[in-house]
Amino acid sequence: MTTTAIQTRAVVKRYGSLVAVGGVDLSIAPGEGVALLGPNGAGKTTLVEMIEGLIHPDEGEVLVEGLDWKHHATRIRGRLGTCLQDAKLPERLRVDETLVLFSSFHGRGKDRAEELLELVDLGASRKQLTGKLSGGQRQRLALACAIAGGPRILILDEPTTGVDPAARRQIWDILKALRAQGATLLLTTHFMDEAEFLCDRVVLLEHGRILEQGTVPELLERGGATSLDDLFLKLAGRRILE
Amino acid sequence: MNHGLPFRLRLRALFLLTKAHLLEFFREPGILFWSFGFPILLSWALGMAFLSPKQVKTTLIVSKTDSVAVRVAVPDSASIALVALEGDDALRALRRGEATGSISLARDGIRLQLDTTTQEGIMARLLVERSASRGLLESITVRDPPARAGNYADFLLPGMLGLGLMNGCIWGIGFALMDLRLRKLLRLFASTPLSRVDILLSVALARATTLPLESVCLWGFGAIVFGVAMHGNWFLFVGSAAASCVAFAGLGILGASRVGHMQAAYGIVNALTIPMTILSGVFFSWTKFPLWLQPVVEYLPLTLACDALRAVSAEGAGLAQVGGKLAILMAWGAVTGIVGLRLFRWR
Ligand SMILES: Nc1ncnc2c1ncn2[C@@H]1O[C@H](COP(=O)(O)OP(=O)(O)OP(=O)(O)O)[C@@H](O)[C@H]1O
Ligand SMILES: [Mg+2]
Repeated sequence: MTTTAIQTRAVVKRYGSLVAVGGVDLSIAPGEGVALLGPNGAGKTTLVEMIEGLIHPDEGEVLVEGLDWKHHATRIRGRLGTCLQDAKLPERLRVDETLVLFSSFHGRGKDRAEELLELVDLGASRKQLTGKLSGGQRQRLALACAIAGGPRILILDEPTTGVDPAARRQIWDILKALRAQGATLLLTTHFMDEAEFLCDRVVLLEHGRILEQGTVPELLERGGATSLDDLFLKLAGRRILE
Repeated sequence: MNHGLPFRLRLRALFLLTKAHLLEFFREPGILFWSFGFPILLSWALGMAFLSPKQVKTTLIVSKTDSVAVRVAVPDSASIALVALEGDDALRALRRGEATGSISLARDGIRLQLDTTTQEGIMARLLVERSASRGLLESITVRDPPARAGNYADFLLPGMLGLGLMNGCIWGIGFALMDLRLRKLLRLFASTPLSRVDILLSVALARATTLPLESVCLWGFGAIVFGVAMHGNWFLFVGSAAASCVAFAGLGILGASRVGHMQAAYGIVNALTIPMTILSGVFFSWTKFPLWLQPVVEYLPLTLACDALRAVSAEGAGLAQVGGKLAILMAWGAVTGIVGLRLFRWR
């Protein structure tokens, strides 16, 4: 039996002399929700895309449900649902066409597309071209595409960036429901409230390394901070002093 | 290993992705004009420019030895131009329609070699009869020319077809892949269980759907408006078009393999298409270029494509004549395609 949904062991990714991810060990249990936080350029996207098998780590290894990407790529892809940072969708496809298409990638039929349409509440816009959707609608559609295959593990890179509070709430509710059904969730975000609402654990990343991790109250207490920004400033300051 | 989905479901996903590319293609504003209307319009404009019926000047070939004597009998005039050419040069001028026929002096009078089944041939004969010195008139003999006088539309249409196939593949496969990469769709598709082979295949299949449509429209137009006929075998003609597409698809994939910026995408596509459009003999024969350039031009994919298509359609060439060109085209496709796939970046 596998005991972890996602496991990274000392993964490193460099771009020239820049170390985007500098040796991260992360282990996420099945059904757990983990939020990855950190300033711009911290390496969140790079780490997440290595877990998604889109970037090959220079060092270390990534296991998804105990399987490694090198030998089990297709099996892993069947279990993952991913939402890429600023993912675009085919602009000149309609909403329903897009959902039928992405469902087919997972071997699912039109009925699945209907289910998804219902789930993300885009029924009224089913004939809209995706390029004409609002930012919030597009994010919901991207989420629907990510979960088309009914994945056990969801990896979402900033799923609510650029979305108004009402639409964010809608996305949260969908994700909360999926978590309640037992899905594992790894998401990156810049919002503390999002992390707190959706996840059990927060991992703070900076300069490609894990700075701190724990529940939100734990972290704030440990750092003697009142907010995420505050905490980051304090942690960064402390590191410089050391 | 690579097959996440059962075969039937995999085919369905491939079909739907191909259909998605087609929907995106046909919903792009202006696409119908650029891929269907523009080539036809250009062929029409060029064809008209060179087929003007008002043209009553005829060009006839004389051999260099006969030149002086013929010019005495039939003087150069506003309606008759005489050019001195020999052997292969003379044949080529006839095939390209640069000259209507040839004229020489025999013991018994003027001998014309003309195709009197064409309008140009009849006109040339009348012009000669009108201007020849009296005493020679009785004895004009007309023979078939040693080469068929090709008209410009016969020359142009296969060239336009080759050009359309090149643009269709390099824009439709090469640029389309770069566009998918830059819109991050390539990565999005690659993050699903869909196999990467199928993602690439879907782009090629979408093109394999639109290109035959575009080609049939263009050829149909030429056949109806300019009366361009097929002198060779249709299967060989379609085969030549397919081999050309293999070469252009390979080039497209190689060009698209690593590009990461829109600017570079346009740059690469233009760098691939514009030189060949100019050099490869789409609009006029590439043998007019300087000799030192010709060996390079001759083996460019678009040159090979146009030459093969033209040889089959205008001259009725068989596999024996064009087989070599088709083999080189496929080699172009195989080499560039394999290198392109090796270098290919999904993000
Ligand atoms: N393809 C690439 N080539 C070169 N450098 C890259 C590449 N991708 C990322 N980087 C660099 O790696 C570092 C980490 O980038 P990454 O996108 O992972 O950060 P992030 O935490 O996701 O930031 P954001 O919050 O802005 O999304 C950055 O300094 C970035 O410039
Ligand atoms: Mg990021």
